[in-house]
Amino acid sequence: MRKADERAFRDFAVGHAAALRRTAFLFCGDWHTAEDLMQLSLLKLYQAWHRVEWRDHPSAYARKVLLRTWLDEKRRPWRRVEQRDGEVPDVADSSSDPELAGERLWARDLVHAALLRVPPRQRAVLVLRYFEDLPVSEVAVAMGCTEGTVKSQTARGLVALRAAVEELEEGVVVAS
Amino acid sequence: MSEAELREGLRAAVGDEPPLTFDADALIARAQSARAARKRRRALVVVGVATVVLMGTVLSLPGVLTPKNPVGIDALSGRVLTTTAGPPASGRATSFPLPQPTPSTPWSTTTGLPGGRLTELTTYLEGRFADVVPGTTNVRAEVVEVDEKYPAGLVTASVYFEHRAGTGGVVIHLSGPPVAMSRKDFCVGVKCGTPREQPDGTVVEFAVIPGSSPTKVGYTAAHFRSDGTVVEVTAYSHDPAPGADVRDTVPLSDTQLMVLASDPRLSLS
Repeated sequence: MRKADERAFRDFAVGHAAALRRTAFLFCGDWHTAEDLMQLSLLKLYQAWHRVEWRDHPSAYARKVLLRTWLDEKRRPWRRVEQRDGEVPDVADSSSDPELAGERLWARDLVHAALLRVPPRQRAVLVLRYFEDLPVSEVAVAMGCTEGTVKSQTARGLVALRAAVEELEEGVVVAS
Repeated sequence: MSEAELREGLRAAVGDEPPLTFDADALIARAQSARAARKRRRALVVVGVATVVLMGTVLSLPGVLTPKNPVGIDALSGRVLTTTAGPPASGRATSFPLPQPTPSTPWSTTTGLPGGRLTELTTYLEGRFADVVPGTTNVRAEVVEVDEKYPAGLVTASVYFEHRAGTGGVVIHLSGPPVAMSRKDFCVGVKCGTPREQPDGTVVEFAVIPGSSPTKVGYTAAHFRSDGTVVEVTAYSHDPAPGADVRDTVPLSDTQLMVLASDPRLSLS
């Protein structure tokens, strides 16, 4: 790779590493795995950096690579056997208002826990549309499908997410 | 849950993001190392495939090149005196140089001609050779090869004799279409002399064939007949059977070779 290309890639990687890791975290629900996914995606991106057609939209291409990498990871046998119990670890409350902070923490954990119950591709659509705020067309490019599929996946994902939230809330109520 | 609540929930979900310790240089170094490893792997695969292909070729070539009917080629009991494996493409190169059988190895006979014709040809050759080459004794002729693929197209005969300079041998090829060579093919790879036109308009070509050593040479006269058949007579500066007794000259002159080659009774029919 030429020096100029390498410098451009370094700038891109430094500038987008955090955002890619956040998206990866919403995909997989684990910061360590998210870090691995981000690194792996950037490695793949480095190999493909010479492709001129992607130079204009490296962010979109990086998102696409990240999504593919995560879906590939999920298909691996040692990922398939992984079981999650849905319990969220306790996090220290650093806020000055315990009541408000607890409420926020509850909402955050609830969405996150519910999101992990949504099927992978629907989860990816929700993250790209509501976290990355991407239009349907860009989500379709990242997913490698049609815009109609994105819309239907979004609708199904929302239904699945709401069902998961209700289920989690009922469980908490019953437990309390 | 509304879409706004979902957005807010997703933003909040990444709120406890741990600090990022990202080293771009380390990542690039890792990528370059992976690329080099991939190149090495590809080179290894290419070398492996090339080796397999080469080995396959080397192992399969003997089977491809071995004639399906070795009897027709192995005319001289394993120690081939003349080789005529199939239709000659470049002509002369297939009849010389000759291998060196041991003196105790007799020349064998493989016959495919009709019995009467074989006997007639053999007897005639013995008498005719003695007439054309005076001073020879113990003249003995044998039809040593008849190519079974072309029963009426390719005959090889040998004439043994003793001369004042020692023992000797002459090889005679009688070939017809489609295995008969052309005049152009006759001169490929050998030194051709001045052709001599015959009274009937046909031509006798002459060539000198180099042997395995500078002193071992062969003189050939080939008569290209009007019916498409070709009769070649080759004499050597040594006895081709044991390969010894190299002489200074070939025991048959050009004229004697031409007389034998153009003899109308030396024919396939």
